[in-house]
Formats: sequence, structure tokens, C-alpha cells
Amino acid sequence: MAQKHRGPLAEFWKRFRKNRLAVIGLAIIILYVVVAVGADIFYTYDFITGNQIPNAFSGVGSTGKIDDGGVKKAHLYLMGADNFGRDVAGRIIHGARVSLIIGFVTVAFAVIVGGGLGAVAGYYGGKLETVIMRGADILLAIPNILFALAIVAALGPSFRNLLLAIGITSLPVYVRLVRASVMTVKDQEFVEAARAQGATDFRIILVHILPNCMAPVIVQATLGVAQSILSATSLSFLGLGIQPPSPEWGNMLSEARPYLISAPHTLIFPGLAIMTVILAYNLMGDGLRDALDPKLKR
Amino acid sequence: MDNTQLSIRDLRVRYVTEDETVNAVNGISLDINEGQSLGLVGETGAGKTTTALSILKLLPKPTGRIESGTITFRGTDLASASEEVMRKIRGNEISMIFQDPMTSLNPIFTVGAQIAEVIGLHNKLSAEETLKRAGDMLELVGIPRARSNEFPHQFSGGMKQRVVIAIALACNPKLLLADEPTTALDVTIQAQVLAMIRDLKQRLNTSLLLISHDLGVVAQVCDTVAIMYAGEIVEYGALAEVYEKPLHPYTEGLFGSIPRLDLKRKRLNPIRGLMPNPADLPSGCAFHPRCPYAQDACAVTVPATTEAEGRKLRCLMYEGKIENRMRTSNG
Amino acid sequence: MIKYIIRRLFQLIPVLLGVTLIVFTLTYISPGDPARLMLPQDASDIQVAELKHSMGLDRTFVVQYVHFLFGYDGPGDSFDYKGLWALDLGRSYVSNRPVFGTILERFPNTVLLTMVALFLSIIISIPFGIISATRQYTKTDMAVTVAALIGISVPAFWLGMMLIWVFSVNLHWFPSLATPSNLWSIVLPSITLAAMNTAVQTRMTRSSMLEVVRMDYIRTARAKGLDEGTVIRVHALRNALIPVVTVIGLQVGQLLVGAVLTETVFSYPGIGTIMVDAIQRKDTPQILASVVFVALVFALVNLAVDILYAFIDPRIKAQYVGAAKKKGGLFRGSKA
Repeated sequence: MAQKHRGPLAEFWKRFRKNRLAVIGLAIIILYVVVAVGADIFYTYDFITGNQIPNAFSGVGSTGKIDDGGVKKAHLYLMGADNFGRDVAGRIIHGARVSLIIGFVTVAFAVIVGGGLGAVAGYYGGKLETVIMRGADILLAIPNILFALAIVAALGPSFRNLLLAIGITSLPVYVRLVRASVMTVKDQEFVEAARAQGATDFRIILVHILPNCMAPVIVQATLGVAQSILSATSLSFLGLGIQPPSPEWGNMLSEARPYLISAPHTLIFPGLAIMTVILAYNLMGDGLRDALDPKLKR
Repeated sequence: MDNTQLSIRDLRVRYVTEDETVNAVNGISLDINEGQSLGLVGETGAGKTTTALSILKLLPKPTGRIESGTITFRGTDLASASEEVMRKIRGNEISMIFQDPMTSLNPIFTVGAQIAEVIGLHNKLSAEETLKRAGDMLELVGIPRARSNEFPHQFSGGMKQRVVIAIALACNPKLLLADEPTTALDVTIQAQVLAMIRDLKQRLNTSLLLISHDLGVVAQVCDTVAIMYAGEIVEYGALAEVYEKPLHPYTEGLFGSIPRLDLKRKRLNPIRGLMPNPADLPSGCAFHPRCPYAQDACAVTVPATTEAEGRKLRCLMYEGKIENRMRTSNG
Repeated sequence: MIKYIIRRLFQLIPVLLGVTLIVFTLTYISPGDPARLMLPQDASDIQVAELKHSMGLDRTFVVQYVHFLFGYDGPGDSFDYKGLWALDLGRSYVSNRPVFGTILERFPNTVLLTMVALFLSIIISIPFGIISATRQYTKTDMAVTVAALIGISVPAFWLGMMLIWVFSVNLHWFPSLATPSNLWSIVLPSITLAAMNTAVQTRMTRSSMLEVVRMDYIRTARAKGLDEGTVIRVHALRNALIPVVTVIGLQVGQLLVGAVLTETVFSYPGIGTIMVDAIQRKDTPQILASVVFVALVFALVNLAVDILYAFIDPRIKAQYVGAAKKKGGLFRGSKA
């Protein structure tokens, strides 16, 4: 009796599911995305960036009177308030939105541009490949955070520059990755067959070769989101990223730093948020790697 | 006269994982005498490697286990022996060589060191003496002693396999287990390595258990042959006799499926069907779904091992339980 | 072997040039006019242009890049410098001290911190990685795996602050400010700095061991009659550690970079604090010099690791030494 044959997607999901940690990671990510997308439902942007000085440093779970456009109401500070009386939990939720955007945009940019360059390098070879790979080597020679730091320091701190900096520093990894994959796949017979049918290079690369290179890219992309978020928060912490009062977990930590002794909750919660999201992406990336790796058979 | 080195009786070995249980070896018995060479032949998945690994208790832990049976080596039952006893035997009294020479040697140690290691492990000798002996072994397998200090990647596949053989024979074992030693090599190199095994075996009077799926390879080296199918030995006797006149339908099928230079045949005659999944064996005789002579009883009754024409066989035809249609078709 | 080293050094030069070019380009395109910023607000355009000229900032891109590398000798002496190859890029806008002077002064402090962190990371990661691998699927393995996962997910600067909060503020075991003269004060920053590295190395050691233990030559070793302890120690470990050593080497570079973030949290006087202060004060020459310096050191460290790797793994060494003896060598596969 032959074993049931599952489609590759179902097979992949079965393997992924077995890894409990990875599933937890996925769950956390989904939670964050939902919360981030619906951030305004919970707390309005104005509210979390506006000053509510009388409530400064309110403790966790305390209630205070806030001034909502002239009307005074009671408000529950789930995670306490920061030095301006702003709701920490609210700022964290809005910060989640920022972090997730940064993560996705930078990685998408790096995958598309880096992957595209890598595909071209791997497929055509020759001088083109040498130029592209030398470029990638040079970019890789500068450590990521340092490079991003230099770019933002040079161009001035802003959201756009942050995205640009992190996007550029994430590029070279995908150039290398996709080039290696393309080189392995392009000599296989089905590519020759497609060429014999008259397919253009563009079509061959896009339709035939690239889908077979996706696995390592997906894994790297997931881990890359984690790295991007870490870089973004680090740079914001140094004052080079998102500027206050816009909430970003890194700049929240930098603003709260002088109050380590008097109001530790302003430091603990944002940090936990950063750690949890990055952990979640790492867990999922690991899980994806294990599930997509054909060599791993328990 | 009892010069039996190795005696296996009713060995059963299983691999147990969380998904399934694989019945790899299902009750085999065999004997190897001093100086004898037994060929264990069968397709991939028949249980040959598992048998060899069981002798040295090198089954993967924790999945592989010897369920029952005895493996008696010169008076000691290996199946129930302690790990300490086994370690004294491995490499020393029973050695094993494996299929892929490319990966069997540790890449960061010199070949000389790897041979010396097994010598030093089982003998109390000075460092000098050990190295000298290691050099001797290299010479024995046709590699200049001066190459002792080279690394495995500096040798070709055939030479690596010779180093592997040198390691295996360094302590002059009574029994050598060879698992597909030439399968990964070119045909010409294959011949050389086989000739060397044959020669050394004779010189050192080592018994040999040679595992192969290749009938030709076995014929070059062995005097006795046991055909394995789905974890059982279905035919077992003197090589010349079995090859001349196979009695088991599976053996007949094996011979029928190889190309022959001396007969004009338009087509090859493979055995129809596939080897069964060891986790899900057929009822009755394991071969019956593919057997051209199968009858009703074959799906129900498990054949016992009987003797016929000087060999051991597992087939209901030789138990007299069913009609022997093979003789009638061969005349 | 020397040939290999020389060849690798040669390969490094274009990369180093590329790095300097990139860093220089960044400053070149950076908005803002240093000349204007240095003069009082009511300065006329002519005055700004004059100052710009004497600073050498009105030349073309290529000319300025050449100055950057080899030195600038302008009218007057106040803005002259000898260039990157002499480690002289002029003076800080803020302190007026030579930028590289400050860097070289503080660099040893960063090295100290990095070395302590490296040491800590090695003595923790390797044993735990091995234990985790040899006890795969047990509770110990799970614990180590989770700890390592957390380690790679924790932002260093936050970890530093949390450690200060627990061990300094609450338990008073350690000071919250670190100085190189007080080794005890370096403990917390080292742990902070080492955390990510330790985690990465532990995972690497674990996965490398798991892979090696499945190799055929381990089976050969067991078949020789060796006991499991010897098999792991002598045969598995040495092979498993090869990729781990490379990773550790590469991590040295990452440690240097990580120091940038960690030092500020502890106000430790190393290059990190220099860089961060310079950023906050928009002291462009200082930022530039610091970034270039760290990038160059990083590249050199990686080169050193590459070369070291060749010593450890005989296969790599043979590839490069043997390549020189290509034709008719013994090395490239004698036939059986």
C-alpha cells in the first residue's frame, strides 16, 4: 500500500506544524500584525503623542484623568505612563506599526532589488556578474548597523532615510543568495527545454528559475525582518531614526533612559516588545528553514 | 568439526520511530566458518546492511534494536553482550568496511594516523612500533608507506577504499564485514579492489561476509551465498551451485533480470513489482505478490526454512505444501 | 602559504578602497554646509565661499576623494591633513583635536571590552553547544535552544539597561559606569556585548556537532572499537569546531560594531561613545573617521580569520598551496 502523496504545500505545513516554537512565533507575529494594523482603534495617534504632563510616570495599571480635547475623562494606563504622561501601551502599539512597516518595506526592497541583481548575475555571468558581485562584496564588507548608521548620519535622520539605509544594507545578502541558487538551477534540463521552446530570458528567469530558488530567500527574508527591526530600533535609540514624539520603540527607550531608577516600567515594556517581535520572527525563520530543508528527515 | 566463527540464529531486528516500525530483519540464520566467504545478496532495503550492523551492534540508537535471536561469535553471544565487550571486538576481531570511501575517512587526520589509531587501540605497542605497523598495512594494500602523512582528500576514491581496508585489517580480524565495498567505485577500480580483498583474505585467513546487490561482484570473491528478501534469507548454499541452478523463484528472477553475453535475448526479464515496504509486509510469504509460481497457500502460510539439494530454502514448494511449478517450467 | 596570504591581501585592496569610497561619498552628499555652520549667522556668501575654499570643500568629487586618501594641503595651515593613509583626517569640529588621535587613544579600551566579551562568549557557547547537541531532544537541549534564541533576539542596548537595573541599581553588585581601569566594572558591559555572540555561537556549535555526528567517518570510528567519549572528543569535535572557529572569528568584527551601542549605555570611553557623541553633535569629520576606522579594522579582522581558517582545515590549505603546483602534482588525485 503506497503512502498518501500530499501536495508540497500541505507537506510543508505538516512539517512546520511539528515545530512548536515556530508555530508560537507565527502566532505572535499574527497578533502583532493585527494589533498594529488596528492601532488607531485602541489609541489614537494624537492621544499617544500629546502631552499629558499631570500623569507623568503613572504606574502600571493606574488610572489618571486625561485631557481629551478639553474634556476630562478617566483613563487606565495599562503599562503606565512615560515622562510626558503618555500612555506607554498605546505608544508601543503604534510603535509596532512603525516597526512592522520598516521590516516589510526594507526586506521587500532588498529581496526584489537584491534578488533581481543576483538573478541577473547568476544567469548571465561574465563581466556583469563580476561587477555585481564585487559591488555586493564591498557592501558586505561594511558591517550592517555601522553602514546604516553612516547613511542616516550623512543624510539626516528621517523615516525615509532610515528605510533607505536599512534597505541598502540588507541588499547584498540576497544578491549572493539568489545568484548561488540561480547558478545551481540554470543548468538543469527543464531550463534548456524552456529555451528550446523559444522562451525569452526574462520569462525563463522569472517563471522557471526563480520559483525554484525561493526557499532560502523566504527563510532569509523572515530572519531579515527581525534584523531590520533590530537595526531600526538601534538607530532610533541613537537618535538617528524616527524622531520623537513619533513613537518608535528605540526612541522610547532613549527618552526613558534617564528614568531608569525612578520609572523602570518606561524602559521595560518597550524593550520587551522589541524582544518579543524579534524573537517571533527568529522562531518562524528557524521553523521555515527546518520545514523547507529537504535534507532533514527525522 | 567446529571451526565456525560466526553463527546467527533467528535474528530479528527492527527500527522503531514515532511514525512507524520497520521490520528490517525477520528471522535469519547463517554460519560462517574459518576462511569462508559468504556473500549476502539482495536488493536495497532487503536488510543486508542491518544484519551486518547488528553483528557489531552499530545500529543507530535509539531507533534500531535487536528484538530476538543470537549472534554467536567464537562462543560469545554478541546480541546480548555488553558495550565493553563489543568495543574489544570491533576493529579487532571483527571489522567492518562501508560503502562510500569518500566519506568514511576523517578529513582532518592523516591516513597513517587513522590506521595507527585502530592498531594502538587494541594493542599495547610503542608509538614507533604502531606507526611502523601502520606503514606496513599501507604497503599491504599497495600504497607507498611514504604517503602515511597525507590527508584523505589527497587520494582518489579507489585508494581511499584501500586505506579503509587497511584500517579494517590492521588488527588481523577473524571476520571482515564488507558492505558494498565497491559499489561507489569505477568498474575497473572495482576489479582491483575485489582482487585485493580476495588476496588479503586468503593470506590472512580472514572470514568474509560480503554484502552486495551485484551478483557478479559476489561471484568473484565468495564461496557461499545467501539471498535476502524483505528481511529473510530465501536461498542459502554454495555459490557455484546456486548460480548454476537457482531454486527459489526470487533467485531465479534475479538471474533472469541480468543481461547475458552468452544468450541472445531481445528483452530483459525483470521481476515485476517492487520490494515491499518493510513497515508493511505482505501476509504469508513476503515474495508472493511478485512470484510467478504463487498459489493460494502462499498468501496465507509463512514458509519455514527447509533443505533441498544441499541448500536452505524458504518456499512452500520445497516444503511440499504446494505444487512445484518451477521444475515443470524449466524441464 | 605566504603566497596565499599575499594573494588575499591583494584581493582586499579593492574592497578597502570601495569601503572608503562609499564612506566618503556619504559625507560628500550629506546636506549641510560645514563652512556656513562654522561662521556666525550673519556671514556673507563671499565669506562662506572663501572659507569653503580654504577648507578644500569646493573641489570636484574626485579631487576631494584623493584629498581624503592622500592628504590636503590648502592655503594656510589650519585645515591641512595628511589623509587616510597616514591616519590623519583633520580635526574635530567640536573639540578641535585630531580625529584619529582621539580614536587611537580610545581604541584600546574598546579592544579590551571586546576581548573580554569574546572570551566570555567562547567559554560559554562551546560547552553548551556540545552538550545541547549530544543530548538532542532532551530538556537540556530545549533549554539551551530557547536561551540561545532569546540571546539573538535581545537588543543589546536594552539588555545593558536591564542588567544595570537589576544588578547595579537594585542589587548593587556592579557599578553602572564602566571604566577600563576597573575590571569589575567591565563585567556588565561585557556580558551585554557578549550576549548576541554567545547565542549565535552556541547555535552554530550545536548544529555543526549534529551534522558531524551523522557523518560516515564517525561510524568508521565506532567500528574501530572506540568508546563514545573518544569518538565525540577526537573525531567529532575537531571537525565540528572548524566552522565554529570561522564564525567566532567573524563575530570579532561584530563585537567591535556592537561595542558602538553598548558603550554608550555604560558611558564606557571607547570608540563607540566617540561615535555616538559625534553623531549627536554633528561632528562630521569625527563621524567619518570613526566609521572608516571601524570598517577597516573589521575588514582586516575578517581577513585574519580567513587566513587562520586555512591553517586549521587541511583541505582549504591544500586548495591554495596545491593550486600553485597544479600540473603533475601528487596532490590532485593520484589514480588508484
